[in-house]
Amino acid sequence: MTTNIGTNGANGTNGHGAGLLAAAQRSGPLSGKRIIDFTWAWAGPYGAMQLALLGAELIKVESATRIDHSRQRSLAMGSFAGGVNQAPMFNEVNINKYSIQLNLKTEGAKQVIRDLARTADGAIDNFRPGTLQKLGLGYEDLSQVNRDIVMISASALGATGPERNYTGYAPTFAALSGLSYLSGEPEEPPVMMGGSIDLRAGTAAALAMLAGFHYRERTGRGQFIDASSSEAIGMHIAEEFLHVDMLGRDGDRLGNGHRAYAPHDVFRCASMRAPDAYSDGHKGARTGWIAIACRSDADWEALCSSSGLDHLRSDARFRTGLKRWKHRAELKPMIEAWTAEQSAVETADMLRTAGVPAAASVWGSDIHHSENFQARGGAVSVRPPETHLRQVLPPPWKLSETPAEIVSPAPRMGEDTTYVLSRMLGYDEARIDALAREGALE
Amino acid sequence: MSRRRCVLDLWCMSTPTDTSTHTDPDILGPPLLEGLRVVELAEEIAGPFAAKLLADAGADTIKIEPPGGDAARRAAPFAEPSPHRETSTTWLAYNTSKRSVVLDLESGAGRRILQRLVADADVLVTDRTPSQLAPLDLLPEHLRERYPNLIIAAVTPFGLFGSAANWPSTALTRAHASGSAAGVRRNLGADSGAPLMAGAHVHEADGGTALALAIWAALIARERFGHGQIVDVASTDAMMNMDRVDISIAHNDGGPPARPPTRGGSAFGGRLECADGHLIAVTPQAHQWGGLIKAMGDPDWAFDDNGNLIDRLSLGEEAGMAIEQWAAARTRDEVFRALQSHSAPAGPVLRPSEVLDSEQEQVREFFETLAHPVAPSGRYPQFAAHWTSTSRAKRSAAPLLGSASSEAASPHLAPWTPVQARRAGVIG
Repeated sequence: MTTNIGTNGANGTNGHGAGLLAAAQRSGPLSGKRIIDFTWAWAGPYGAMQLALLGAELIKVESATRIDHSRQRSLAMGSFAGGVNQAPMFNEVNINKYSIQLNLKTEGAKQVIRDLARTADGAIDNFRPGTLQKLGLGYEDLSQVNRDIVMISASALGATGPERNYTGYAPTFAALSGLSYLSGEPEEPPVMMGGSIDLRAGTAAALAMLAGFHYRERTGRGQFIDASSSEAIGMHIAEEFLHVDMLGRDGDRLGNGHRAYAPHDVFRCASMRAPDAYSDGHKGARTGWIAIACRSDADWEALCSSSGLDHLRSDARFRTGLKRWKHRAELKPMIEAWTAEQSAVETADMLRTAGVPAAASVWGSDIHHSENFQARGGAVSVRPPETHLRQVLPPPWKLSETPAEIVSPAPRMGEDTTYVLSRMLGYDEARIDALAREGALE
Repeated sequence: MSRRRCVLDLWCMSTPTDTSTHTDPDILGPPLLEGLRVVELAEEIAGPFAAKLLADAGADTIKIEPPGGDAARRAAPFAEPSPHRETSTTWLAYNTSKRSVVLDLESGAGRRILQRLVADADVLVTDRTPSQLAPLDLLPEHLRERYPNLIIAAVTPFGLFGSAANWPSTALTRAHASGSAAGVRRNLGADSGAPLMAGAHVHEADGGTALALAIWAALIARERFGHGQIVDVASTDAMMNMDRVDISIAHNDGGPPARPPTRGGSAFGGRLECADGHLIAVTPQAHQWGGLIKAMGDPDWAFDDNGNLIDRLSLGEEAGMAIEQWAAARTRDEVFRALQSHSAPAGPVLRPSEVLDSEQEQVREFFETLAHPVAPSGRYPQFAAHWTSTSRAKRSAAPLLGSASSEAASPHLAPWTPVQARRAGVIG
């Protein structure tokens, strides 16, 4: 089941159709809350998008003089060939937002921000610390016009400390947090981590912002929140710091392995699905991988008896959990000799029925096709202006009484400039024209 | 509701009652969740991590454990050579600032005490599936009717509803079922080998942060609209969302196209081997690439005859090799400082021990040393943000098994005394 959201192009006041306007009338946890979104790239925009999915009105501030580079390129893809309104990366982390185009170097644009701040509940940025202050738009400035505003700055390393001015992206956050060192195969170098690190940093920033809003509901108090994207990754690996203090050493890279269990790995299969699954236009992966984890003798015996690996059960090398773990390097090719003849999805199904933890290692369309994904509501279809219909993942949480809603694709750059100025701020035409002449709306 | 009043009372107790001082930015307010009560019925990583984030923020968090304790207490490694139920580093990391109550939920009396604790709570955090919650009379939709103000927050492997709720799974199979492990490998190039889990317990922790985020959203909704709700997080949904950008491109665009060359970070970024370990440099923007070249001392190969920077994509392998040689002759720290001083994003691949020692994190007080009655003291990370107008809650190390059984359960034991209940095995 999918839901279709989106319009194709502008319709005057609000180019993404009626979705955003209608959403503002409903009761999301943050409905009626206005947030100025200065973020760009991936981490900050994803964090801000969480707030938009919860019903807040997110006004993304963009400029042709400083284009959000997720409209233009990604670390994984390199330069994006399409136009700034067609980038798939941008759409994924800017759903449900308005876009206003402002050149913050102009006095007119700064006044627009101050006017927005007066009516806003929050602001979020992921600049280098001090960037907004230099423009006269930092917390000190915006709290002058609205002392209850909640403002978060989520920078690479935080707003304090000797490295506060350093810049970074997802791979450097992972490197500086300790996670990269721990990621990879045991005998190989640490791996460079990618975009998922940004979205973890964005999640932490969104959580911090929600805590700030909740606090304001309870105490009436706004505040400034200083968040570090590197620390956002570090807080996910707390036990690794305890290893150092309590065991006197750093942890190891384990790859897909486990400290005590074997088999505990991913094995190559003949295909992702049985051949007939591809006949209905399924466009998932051809190469298949299956993850299998045996936690106990019972899991091991169930694996052997349901897989045609029964001969391994009597092999002295694999008789106990400890022996299987010691001989895991010999065990792997023997299991893979079997999986190499199987399809991953159907084999995982069969093993789980026998009680063995197993899963096909899926990606892309195979995620969209998975039965549980469909049973939990499936993808949401959105049509970003100037591009084709896209199926996107729903948010990672479901709230029974105040459900998150995807009501609009990401905006075109500056799509809502006039709407924000005239409808939200009440500027008249002459004032908007004057801003345009000043170059404030570039 | 009485809970709300209680919160405000606490607030009034901790600062002068003159309302003009409540918003004085120079006076720190009370901790974020002071006065909130959380009951946790969860084990291992995801559920405990969510509850820990609430507990560290000041919520009074009662962790219900079975007589043998949370399974994480049995997870290696341990702070000492032989396993001990109080010294698993995984256990210690994900259970700070909680109280432990041991209840035998096989017994009717144990289940009744749990019901009373839940009735008294603002938030229930659980990782149990509906088929496990039903015999405890804790089905979310029933609790929702019974306690309209309660936030019932579940993080389960595949969600409270769906077709996989009862699948056997482990952290490994969940990371692969979600696409998260494929995402780690894809980032290294599409054909670089088998899908790969990231290190530590980061995939499992994703379910915890997603749940904590949603609980805070539900707390805001409760303040504003006066009702609780059910929060349903599938760990696998949380993990797959972390890769939503590349999953979308794979599904909707059939991509991504071949990754650009990364040798030595000559295109957009890569891993460099320095004299003392690895470093990541990432320079997608033109000025960042210019910074990298400047940090290297403006080598001739980077410029054309007119002294302009050559488009790096046309430079070829030699450029990457030159960057690699430059980095190999220097330490991570030298390369890191040189690149950052020219605005080229970079980060040394730090060992956790080096993160602990970094001046940056020491100045920011990211780590806090917590003492424990059995395990050695350790440095525990804070949440990755400073709320600058809010007092930090006082944190404590993970609780000893059942150390709060008597005090937390005693109001609910009638007709037994704590000693009788302990003897009967209802509490532990």
